[in-house]
Amino acid sequence: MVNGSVILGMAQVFQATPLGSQNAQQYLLYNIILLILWFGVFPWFYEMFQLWRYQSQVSSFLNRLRFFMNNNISQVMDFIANKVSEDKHLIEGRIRDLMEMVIIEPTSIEPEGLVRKYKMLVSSYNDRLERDVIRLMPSLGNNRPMVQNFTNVIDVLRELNFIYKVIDHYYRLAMKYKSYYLLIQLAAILPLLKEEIDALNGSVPVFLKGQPIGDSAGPLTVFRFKNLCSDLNVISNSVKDTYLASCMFKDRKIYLVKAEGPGGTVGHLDDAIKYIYEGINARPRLMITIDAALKLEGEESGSIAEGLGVAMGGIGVEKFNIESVATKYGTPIYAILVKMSMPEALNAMSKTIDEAVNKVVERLGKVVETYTEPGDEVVIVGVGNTIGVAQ
Amino acid sequence: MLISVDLYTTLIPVIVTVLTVAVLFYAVSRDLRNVLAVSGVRRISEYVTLRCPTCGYVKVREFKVGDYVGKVDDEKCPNDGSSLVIIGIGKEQANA
Repeated sequence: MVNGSVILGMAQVFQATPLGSQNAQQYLLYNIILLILWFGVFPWFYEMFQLWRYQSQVSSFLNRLRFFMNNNISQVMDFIANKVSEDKHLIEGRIRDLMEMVIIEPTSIEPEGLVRKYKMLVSSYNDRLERDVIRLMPSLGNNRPMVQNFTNVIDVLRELNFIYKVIDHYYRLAMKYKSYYLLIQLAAILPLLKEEIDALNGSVPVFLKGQPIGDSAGPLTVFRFKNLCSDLNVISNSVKDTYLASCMFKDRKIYLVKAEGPGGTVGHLDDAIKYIYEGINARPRLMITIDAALKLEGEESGSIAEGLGVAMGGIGVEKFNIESVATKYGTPIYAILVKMSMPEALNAMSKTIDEAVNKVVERLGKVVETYTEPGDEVVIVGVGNTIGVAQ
Repeated sequence: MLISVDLYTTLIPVIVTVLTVAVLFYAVSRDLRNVLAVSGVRRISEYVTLRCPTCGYVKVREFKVGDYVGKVDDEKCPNDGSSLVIIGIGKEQANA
Protein backbone atom coordinates (compact mmCIF):
# COMPACT_ATOMS: atom_id res chain seq x y z
CA MET A 1 0.00 0.00 0.00
CA VAL A 2 2.85 2.36 0.89
CA ASN A 3 4.71 1.51 -2.34
CA GLY A 4 1.51 2.14 -4.27
CA SER A 5 1.18 5.60 -2.75
CA VAL A 6 4.81 6.38 -3.63
CA ILE A 7 4.25 5.51 -7.30
CA LEU A 8 1.01 7.45 -7.32
CA GLY A 9 2.79 10.38 -5.75
CA MET A 10 5.57 10.25 -8.33
CA ALA A 11 3.07 10.18 -11.18
CA GLN A 12 1.27 13.19 -9.78
CA VAL A 13 4.53 15.05 -9.33
CA PHE A 14 5.52 14.48 -12.96
CA GLN A 15 2.09 15.53 -14.15
CA ALA A 16 2.10 18.74 -12.17
CA THR A 17 5.76 19.80 -12.37
CA PRO A 18 7.61 20.62 -15.60
CA LEU A 19 10.49 18.18 -16.12
CA GLY A 20 13.91 19.73 -15.65
CA SER A 21 12.75 22.16 -12.96
CA GLN A 22 14.58 22.07 -9.63
CA ASN A 23 11.54 20.79 -7.78
CA ALA A 24 11.08 17.91 -10.19
CA GLN A 25 14.72 16.85 -9.80
CA GLN A 26 14.39 16.93 -6.06
CA TYR A 27 11.24 14.85 -6.21
CA LEU A 28 12.87 12.38 -8.55
CA LEU A 29 15.94 12.03 -6.37
CA TYR A 30 13.87 11.71 -3.25
CA ASN A 31 11.66 9.02 -4.73
CA ILE A 32 14.63 7.07 -6.11
CA ILE A 33 16.14 7.07 -2.60
CA LEU A 34 12.81 6.00 -1.20
CA LEU A 35 12.56 3.12 -3.71
CA ILE A 36 16.07 1.97 -2.81
CA LEU A 37 15.07 2.07 0.85
CA TRP A 38 11.86 0.11 0.30
CA PHE A 39 13.23 -2.56 -2.00
CA GLY A 40 16.94 -2.65 -1.12
CA VAL A 41 17.52 -1.69 2.50
CA PHE A 42 14.29 -2.54 4.27
CA PRO A 43 14.10 -6.21 3.09
CA TRP A 44 17.68 -6.69 4.19
CA PHE A 45 16.93 -5.01 7.47
CA TYR A 46 13.80 -7.17 7.84
CA GLU A 47 15.79 -10.36 7.27
CA MET A 48 18.44 -9.28 9.75
CA PHE A 49 15.76 -8.43 12.29
CA GLN A 50 14.06 -11.79 11.80
CA LEU A 51 17.41 -13.57 12.13
CA TRP A 52 18.10 -11.71 15.36
CA ARG A 53 14.57 -12.37 16.59
CA TYR A 54 14.76 -16.14 16.03
CA GLN A 55 18.28 -16.23 17.37
CA SER A 56 17.15 -14.58 20.60
CA GLN A 57 14.25 -17.03 20.91
CA VAL A 58 16.45 -20.09 20.51
CA SER A 59 19.26 -18.80 22.73
CA SER A 60 16.74 -17.88 25.48
CA PHE A 61 15.30 -21.37 25.21
CA LEU A 62 18.74 -22.94 25.53
CA ASN A 63 19.57 -20.77 28.55
CA ARG A 64 16.31 -21.80 30.16
CA LEU A 65 16.99 -25.46 29.46
CA ARG A 66 20.51 -25.21 30.89
CA PHE A 67 19.07 -23.56 34.00
CA PHE A 68 16.51 -26.38 34.35
CA MET A 69 19.19 -29.06 34.16
CA ASN A 70 21.43 -27.39 36.72
CA ASN A 71 18.45 -26.70 38.96
CA ASN A 72 17.34 -30.33 38.75
CA ILE A 73 20.80 -31.60 39.61
CA SER A 74 20.81 -29.23 42.61
CA GLN A 75 17.41 -30.61 43.67
CA VAL A 76 18.75 -34.15 43.43
CA MET A 77 21.81 -33.24 45.51
CA ASP A 78 19.62 -31.52 48.12
CA PHE A 79 17.31 -34.50 48.28
CA ILE A 80 20.06 -37.05 48.85
CA ALA A 81 22.06 -34.78 51.17
CA ASN A 82 20.84 -36.49 54.33
CA LYS A 83 20.18 -39.89 52.82
CA VAL A 84 23.56 -41.03 51.57
CA SER A 85 27.01 -40.91 53.06
CA GLU A 86 29.02 -40.83 49.80
CA ASP A 87 31.01 -37.84 48.52
CA LYS A 88 28.50 -35.36 47.01
CA HIS A 89 30.91 -33.94 44.40
CA LEU A 90 31.68 -37.44 43.19
CA ILE A 91 27.96 -38.20 42.93
CA GLU A 92 27.25 -35.00 41.00
CA GLY A 93 30.09 -35.70 38.58
CA ARG A 94 28.87 -39.25 38.05
CA ILE A 95 25.30 -38.05 37.47
CA ARG A 96 26.61 -35.73 34.76
CA ASP A 97 28.47 -38.68 33.22
CA LEU A 98 25.29 -40.77 33.23
CA MET A 99 23.45 -37.91 31.52
CA GLU A 100 25.83 -38.34 28.60
CA MET A 101 25.15 -42.06 28.24
CA VAL A 102 24.06 -43.00 24.72
CA ILE A 103 22.02 -45.95 23.54
CA ILE A 104 22.80 -47.19 20.06
CA GLU A 105 19.80 -48.68 18.32
CA PRO A 106 20.28 -52.09 16.73
CA THR A 107 20.60 -52.13 12.98
CA SER A 108 17.40 -52.72 11.05
CA ILE A 109 19.07 -53.69 7.78
CA GLU A 110 18.08 -57.26 8.58
CA PRO A 111 14.77 -57.05 10.52
CA GLU A 112 14.89 -60.69 11.68
CA GLY A 113 14.99 -60.74 15.49
CA LEU A 114 14.87 -56.96 15.79
CA VAL A 115 12.28 -57.01 18.58
CA ARG A 116 14.39 -59.42 20.64
CA LYS A 117 17.40 -57.17 20.13
CA TYR A 118 15.41 -54.14 21.30
CA LYS A 119 14.16 -56.03 24.33
CA MET A 120 17.67 -57.04 25.30
CA LEU A 121 18.88 -53.48 24.78
CA VAL A 122 16.12 -51.97 26.93
CA SER A 123 16.64 -54.57 29.69
CA SER A 124 20.41 -53.99 29.61
CA TYR A 125 19.89 -50.24 29.81
CA ASN A 126 17.58 -50.49 32.82
CA ASP A 127 19.87 -52.96 34.61
CA ARG A 128 22.95 -50.92 33.87
CA LEU A 129 21.35 -47.71 35.13
CA GLU A 130 20.14 -49.37 38.33
CA ARG A 131 23.55 -50.93 38.97
CA ASP A 132 25.23 -47.57 38.34
CA VAL A 133 22.90 -45.87 40.84
CA ILE A 134 23.67 -48.53 43.46
CA ARG A 135 27.40 -48.28 42.74
CA LEU A 136 27.14 -44.51 43.05
CA MET A 137 25.24 -44.64 46.33
CA PRO A 138 25.73 -48.07 47.93
CA SER A 139 23.79 -46.88 50.97
CA LEU A 140 20.64 -46.90 48.82
CA GLY A 141 21.24 -50.55 47.88
CA ASN A 142 18.64 -51.96 50.28
CA ASN A 143 15.97 -49.46 49.28
CA ARG A 144 14.91 -50.76 45.86
CA PRO A 145 12.04 -48.27 45.31
CA MET A 146 14.43 -45.40 45.98
CA VAL A 147 16.95 -46.87 43.51
CA GLN A 148 14.21 -47.23 40.89
CA ASN A 149 12.98 -43.69 41.46
CA PHE A 150 16.51 -42.38 41.21
CA THR A 151 16.96 -44.31 37.97
CA ASN A 152 13.87 -42.53 36.64
CA VAL A 153 15.40 -39.19 37.61
CA ILE A 154 18.63 -40.00 35.77
CA ASP A 155 16.54 -40.99 32.76
CA VAL A 156 14.74 -37.63 32.81
CA LEU A 157 18.01 -35.71 33.16
CA ARG A 158 19.48 -37.71 30.28
CA GLU A 159 16.48 -36.82 28.12
CA LEU A 160 16.77 -33.11 28.99
CA ASN A 161 20.48 -33.20 28.24
CA PHE A 162 19.85 -34.89 24.89
CA ILE A 163 17.29 -32.27 23.84
CA TYR A 164 19.67 -29.50 24.93
CA LYS A 165 22.55 -30.91 22.92
CA VAL A 166 20.53 -31.43 19.75
CA ILE A 167 18.99 -27.94 19.81
CA ASP A 168 22.35 -26.40 20.68
CA HIS A 169 23.96 -28.27 17.77
CA TYR A 170 21.49 -26.91 15.20
CA TYR A 171 21.60 -23.45 16.76
CA ARG A 172 25.36 -23.34 16.43
CA LEU A 173 25.18 -24.62 12.86
CA ALA A 174 22.60 -21.96 11.99
CA MET A 175 24.78 -19.22 13.46
CA LYS A 176 27.93 -20.61 11.86
CA TYR A 177 26.44 -20.53 8.35
CA LYS A 178 24.02 -17.64 9.02
CA SER A 179 21.27 -20.01 7.98
CA TYR A 180 18.04 -18.10 8.26
CA TYR A 181 15.83 -21.10 7.42
CA LEU A 182 17.48 -23.45 9.90
CA LEU A 183 16.80 -20.92 12.66
CA ILE A 184 13.17 -20.57 11.54
CA GLN A 185 12.73 -24.36 11.80
CA LEU A 186 14.26 -24.37 15.28
CA ALA A 187 12.06 -21.48 16.41
CA ALA A 188 8.99 -23.19 14.97
CA ILE A 189 9.38 -26.32 17.12
CA LEU A 190 10.19 -24.41 20.32
CA PRO A 191 6.59 -24.22 21.64
CA LEU A 192 6.23 -28.00 21.29
CA LEU A 193 9.59 -28.63 22.90
CA LYS A 194 8.75 -26.16 25.67
CA GLU A 195 5.79 -28.30 26.69
CA GLU A 196 7.96 -31.41 26.77
CA ILE A 197 10.72 -29.63 28.69
CA ASP A 198 8.23 -28.31 31.27
CA ALA A 199 6.82 -31.82 31.68
CA LEU A 200 10.27 -33.38 32.14
CA ASN A 201 11.43 -30.59 34.42
CA GLY A 202 8.36 -30.92 36.65
CA SER A 203 8.75 -34.69 36.89
CA VAL A 204 12.12 -34.63 38.70
CA PRO A 205 10.83 -33.61 42.18
CA VAL A 206 7.87 -35.97 41.71
CA PHE A 207 10.16 -38.93 40.99
CA LEU A 208 12.38 -37.99 43.92
CA LYS A 209 9.39 -37.97 46.28
CA GLY A 210 7.98 -41.18 44.79
CA GLN A 211 4.53 -39.76 44.04
CA PRO A 212 2.22 -41.40 41.50
CA ILE A 213 2.30 -39.65 38.11
CA GLY A 214 -0.40 -39.45 35.47
CA ASP A 215 1.14 -42.42 33.68
CA SER A 216 0.46 -44.48 36.83
CA ALA A 217 -3.25 -44.49 35.94
CA GLY A 218 -3.03 -48.07 34.58
CA PRO A 219 -1.33 -49.63 37.64
CA LEU A 220 -3.59 -47.59 39.96
CA THR A 221 -6.65 -48.98 38.17
CA VAL A 222 -5.43 -52.52 38.79
CA PHE A 223 -4.76 -51.68 42.44
CA ARG A 224 -8.29 -50.32 42.94
CA PHE A 225 -9.91 -53.11 40.93
CA LYS A 226 -8.13 -55.63 43.15
CA ASN A 227 -10.16 -54.32 46.08
CA LEU A 228 -13.37 -55.36 44.31
CA CYS A 229 -12.14 -58.95 43.90
CA SER A 230 -12.18 -61.86 46.31
CA ASP A 231 -9.88 -64.87 46.81
CA LEU A 232 -6.75 -62.93 45.93
CA ASN A 233 -3.81 -65.19 45.19
CA VAL A 234 -0.44 -63.57 44.48
CA ILE A 235 1.67 -65.49 41.97
CA SER A 236 4.96 -64.33 43.39
CA ASN A 237 8.43 -64.10 41.90
CA SER A 238 7.29 -65.26 38.50
CA VAL A 239 8.53 -62.26 36.53
CA LYS A 240 11.05 -59.59 37.58
CA ASP A 241 9.60 -56.22 38.68
CA THR A 242 6.11 -57.39 37.76
CA TYR A 243 3.12 -58.11 39.98
CA LEU A 244 0.97 -61.03 38.96
CA ALA A 245 -2.04 -62.23 40.92
CA SER A 246 -5.32 -64.03 40.37
CA CYS A 247 -8.66 -63.30 42.02
CA MET A 248 -12.38 -63.87 41.53
CA PHE A 249 -14.76 -61.19 40.25
CA LYS A 250 -18.43 -62.02 39.58
CA ASP A 251 -17.56 -65.71 39.06
CA ARG A 252 -14.78 -64.93 36.57
CA LYS A 253 -11.17 -65.72 37.29
CA ILE A 254 -9.18 -62.52 36.83
CA TYR A 255 -5.42 -62.36 36.31
CA LEU A 256 -4.10 -58.99 37.43
CA VAL A 257 -0.86 -57.77 35.89
CA LYS A 258 1.01 -54.56 36.65
CA ALA A 259 4.54 -53.37 37.32
CA GLU A 260 5.62 -54.06 40.89
CA GLY A 261 5.57 -50.87 42.95
CA PRO A 262 5.99 -48.58 44.67
CA GLY A 263 9.31 -47.94 42.92
CA GLY A 264 9.28 -46.29 39.51
CA THR A 265 9.26 -49.08 36.96
CA VAL A 266 7.13 -50.28 34.07
CA GLY A 267 7.90 -53.95 34.76
CA HIS A 268 7.97 -56.72 32.16
CA LEU A 269 4.31 -57.06 31.31
CA ASP A 270 4.89 -59.14 28.17
CA ASP A 271 6.81 -61.75 30.14
CA ALA A 272 4.01 -61.87 32.73
CA ILE A 273 1.38 -62.44 30.06
CA LYS A 274 3.48 -65.14 28.44
CA TYR A 275 3.78 -66.73 31.87
CA ILE A 276 -0.02 -66.71 32.30
CA TYR A 277 -0.49 -68.59 29.01
CA GLU A 278 2.54 -70.85 29.02
CA GLY A 279 3.56 -71.05 32.67
CA ILE A 280 0.13 -71.40 34.28
CA ASN A 281 -1.54 -72.74 31.11
CA ALA A 282 -4.48 -70.40 31.48
CA ARG A 283 -6.66 -69.69 28.46
CA PRO A 284 -8.21 -66.26 29.08
CA ARG A 285 -11.37 -65.35 27.16
CA LEU A 286 -10.45 -61.66 27.14
CA MET A 287 -7.45 -59.45 27.77
CA ILE A 288 -8.01 -55.85 28.88
CA THR A 289 -5.19 -53.30 28.84
CA ILE A 290 -5.49 -49.95 30.63
CA ASP A 291 -3.06 -47.14 29.94
CA ALA A 292 -2.64 -43.38 29.97
CA ALA A 293 -2.80 -41.87 26.49
CA LEU A 294 -1.78 -38.44 25.24
CA LYS A 295 -4.87 -36.39 24.56
CA LEU A 296 -5.46 -34.31 21.47
CA GLU A 297 -5.79 -30.56 22.05
CA GLY A 298 -9.59 -30.65 21.80
CA GLU A 299 -9.99 -33.52 24.25
CA GLU A 300 -10.64 -33.19 27.97
CA SER A 301 -8.07 -34.37 30.51
CA GLY A 302 -9.34 -37.44 32.29
CA SER A 303 -11.72 -38.42 29.51
CA ILE A 304 -11.90 -42.14 28.89
CA ALA A 305 -11.82 -43.94 25.56
CA GLU A 306 -12.40 -47.62 24.92
CA GLY A 307 -11.16 -49.61 21.97
CA LEU A 308 -9.47 -52.72 20.71
CA GLY A 309 -5.77 -53.57 20.70
CA VAL A 310 -2.92 -53.31 23.17
CA ALA A 311 -2.92 -49.92 24.90
CA MET A 312 0.79 -49.42 25.39
CA GLY A 313 3.36 -46.77 24.44
CA GLY A 314 7.12 -46.99 24.28
CA ILE A 315 9.17 -48.40 21.45
CA GLY A 316 6.75 -51.27 20.91
CA VAL A 317 8.72 -54.31 22.09
CA GLU A 318 6.32 -55.35 24.85
CA LYS A 319 3.32 -54.45 22.72
CA PHE A 320 4.60 -56.71 19.95
CA ASN A 321 5.16 -59.61 22.35
CA ILE A 322 1.70 -59.24 23.95
CA GLU A 323 0.06 -59.10 20.53
CA SER A 324 1.99 -62.19 19.46
CA VAL A 325 0.86 -64.20 22.50
CA ALA A 326 -2.77 -63.03 22.21
CA THR A 327 -2.81 -63.84 18.50
CA LYS A 328 -1.29 -67.26 19.08
CA TYR A 329 -4.03 -68.18 21.57
CA GLY A 330 -6.84 -66.24 19.87
CA THR A 331 -7.59 -63.89 22.76
CA PRO A 332 -9.32 -60.61 21.89
CA ILE A 333 -7.64 -57.54 23.37
CA TYR A 334 -9.69 -54.69 24.78
CA ALA A 335 -8.22 -51.29 25.60
CA ILE A 336 -9.25 -48.55 28.01
CA LEU A 337 -7.41 -45.26 27.72
CA VAL A 338 -7.26 -42.35 30.15
CA LYS A 339 -6.57 -39.18 28.17
CA MET A 340 -4.12 -36.61 29.51
CA SER A 341 -1.50 -34.11 28.31
CA MET A 342 2.21 -34.82 28.45
CA PRO A 343 2.79 -32.59 31.53
CA GLU A 344 -0.03 -34.45 33.29
CA ALA A 345 1.41 -37.83 32.30
CA LEU A 346 4.83 -37.04 33.76
CA ASN A 347 3.85 -34.94 36.77
CA ALA A 348 2.14 -35.75 40.06
CA MET A 349 -1.27 -37.28 39.40
CA SER A 350 -3.91 -34.58 39.24
CA LYS A 351 -7.26 -34.85 40.95
CA THR A 352 -8.93 -35.11 37.52
CA ILE A 353 -6.90 -38.20 36.62
CA ASP A 354 -7.35 -39.65 40.11
CA GLU A 355 -11.13 -39.38 39.68
CA ALA A 356 -10.93 -40.73 36.13
CA VAL A 357 -9.26 -43.88 37.50
CA ASN A 358 -12.34 -44.54 39.65
CA LYS A 359 -14.51 -44.31 36.52
CA VAL A 360 -12.16 -46.70 34.69
CA VAL A 361 -12.51 -49.22 37.53
CA GLU A 362 -16.31 -49.05 37.13
CA ARG A 363 -16.06 -49.47 33.36
CA LEU A 364 -13.63 -52.35 33.77
CA GLY A 365 -16.20 -54.20 35.85
CA LYS A 366 -18.87 -53.59 33.20
CA VAL A 367 -16.57 -54.72 30.36
CA VAL A 368 -15.76 -57.95 32.22
CA GLU A 369 -19.46 -58.59 32.87
CA THR A 370 -20.53 -57.70 29.32
CA TYR A 371 -17.94 -59.55 27.25
CA THR A 372 -17.31 -62.67 29.33
CA GLU A 373 -19.40 -65.40 30.93
CA PRO A 374 -19.20 -66.76 34.50
CA GLY A 375 -16.37 -69.29 34.65
CA ASP A 376 -14.26 -67.45 32.04
CA GLU A 377 -10.73 -66.27 32.65
CA VAL A 378 -9.77 -62.64 32.02
CA VAL A 379 -6.40 -60.87 32.04
CA ILE A 380 -6.34 -57.25 33.22
CA VAL A 381 -3.11 -55.38 32.51
CA GLY A 382 -2.35 -52.01 34.11
CA VAL A 383 0.18 -50.44 31.77
CA GLY A 384 2.47 -47.61 32.85
CA ASN A 385 5.01 -46.50 35.41
CA THR A 386 3.90 -47.74 38.84
CA ILE A 387 5.79 -45.12 40.84
CA GLY A 388 4.02 -44.49 44.13
CA VAL A 389 1.57 -47.34 43.56
CA ALA A 390 2.15 -50.63 45.36
CA GLN A 391 -0.08 -53.67 44.97
CA MET B 1 -4.47 16.71 -6.33
CA LEU B 2 -0.76 17.18 -5.76
CA ILE B 3 0.66 15.41 -2.71
CA SER B 4 2.28 17.85 -0.33
CA VAL B 5 6.07 17.73 -0.06
CA ASP B 6 5.76 17.70 3.73
CA LEU B 7 3.93 14.40 3.59
CA TYR B 8 6.98 12.76 2.03
CA THR B 9 9.72 14.54 3.83
CA THR B 10 8.29 14.61 7.31
CA LEU B 11 5.15 12.64 7.99
CA ILE B 12 5.84 9.31 6.26
CA PRO B 13 9.31 8.73 7.78
CA VAL B 14 7.90 9.57 11.19
CA ILE B 15 4.97 7.18 10.76
CA VAL B 16 7.26 4.44 9.40
CA THR B 17 9.68 4.90 12.31
CA VAL B 18 6.93 4.82 14.95
CA LEU B 19 5.30 1.76 13.39
CA THR B 20 8.64 -0.03 13.08
CA VAL B 21 9.51 0.59 16.72
CA ALA B 22 6.04 -0.53 17.83
CA VAL B 23 6.22 -3.73 15.77
CA LEU B 24 9.75 -4.47 16.98
CA PHE B 25 8.73 -3.99 20.58
CA TYR B 26 5.62 -6.14 20.20
CA ALA B 27 7.44 -8.93 18.34
CA VAL B 28 10.35 -9.14 20.75
CA SER B 29 8.23 -8.96 23.89
CA ARG B 30 5.86 -11.63 22.52
CA ASP B 31 8.78 -13.92 21.60
CA LEU B 32 10.33 -13.61 25.02
CA ARG B 33 6.98 -14.19 26.72
CA ASN B 34 6.49 -17.36 24.65
CA VAL B 35 9.93 -18.73 25.30
CA LEU B 36 10.46 -17.74 28.91
CA ALA B 37 6.95 -17.93 30.32
CA VAL B 38 6.53 -20.49 33.06
CA SER B 39 3.47 -22.65 33.10
CA GLY B 40 0.39 -20.76 34.25
CA VAL B 41 -0.52 -23.47 36.72
CA ARG B 42 0.53 -23.46 40.34
CA ARG B 43 0.35 -26.24 42.83
CA ILE B 44 -2.07 -25.84 45.71
CA SER B 45 -1.75 -29.07 47.60
CA GLU B 46 -0.64 -32.66 47.39
CA TYR B 47 -3.05 -34.93 49.15
CA VAL B 48 -3.35 -38.53 50.24
CA THR B 49 -6.65 -40.39 50.45
CA LEU B 50 -6.84 -43.00 53.23
CA ARG B 51 -9.53 -45.62 53.61
CA CYS B 52 -10.42 -48.07 56.31
CA PRO B 53 -10.43 -51.57 54.75
CA THR B 54 -13.09 -52.73 57.24
CA CYS B 55 -15.75 -50.01 57.36
CA GLY B 56 -14.86 -47.84 54.34
CA TYR B 57 -14.17 -44.69 56.38
CA VAL B 58 -12.30 -42.21 54.17
CA LYS B 59 -9.95 -39.45 55.22
CA VAL B 60 -7.78 -37.00 53.27
CA ARG B 61 -4.52 -35.56 54.54
CA GLU B 62 -1.37 -33.85 53.22
CA PHE B 63 1.16 -35.97 51.31
CA LYS B 64 4.39 -36.86 53.12
CA VAL B 65 7.55 -38.22 51.47
CA GLY B 66 7.43 -41.99 51.86
CA ASP B 67 3.69 -42.28 51.22
CA TYR B 68 2.56 -44.59 48.44
CA VAL B 69 -0.70 -46.14 47.32
CA GLY B 70 -1.21 -49.41 49.17
CA LYS B 71 0.79 -48.34 52.23
CA VAL B 72 -0.73 -49.22 55.58
CA ASP B 73 -0.65 -45.93 57.43
CA ASP B 74 0.04 -45.36 61.13
CA GLU B 75 -3.30 -43.62 61.45
CA LYS B 76 -6.22 -45.67 62.84
CA CYS B 77 -9.87 -45.67 61.86
CA PRO B 78 -11.95 -43.73 64.42
CA ASN B 79 -14.81 -46.23 63.97
CA ASP B 80 -13.15 -49.61 64.46
CA GLY B 81 -9.46 -48.91 65.13
CA SER B 82 -8.21 -50.61 61.92
CA SER B 83 -5.12 -49.21 60.25
CA LEU B 84 -6.01 -46.94 57.35
CA VAL B 85 -4.64 -47.77 53.89
CA ILE B 86 -3.58 -45.19 51.31
CA ILE B 87 -5.76 -45.63 48.22
CA GLY B 88 -4.87 -42.50 46.30
CA ILE B 89 -2.29 -39.73 46.02
CA GLY B 90 -2.88 -36.65 43.95
CA LYS B 91 -2.52 -32.95 43.64
CA GLU B 92 -5.00 -30.16 43.19
CA GLN B 93 -4.18 -27.32 40.82
CA ALA B 94 -5.62 -23.95 39.96
CA ASN B 95 -4.78 -21.42 37.29
CA ALA B 96 -2.50 -18.71 38.58
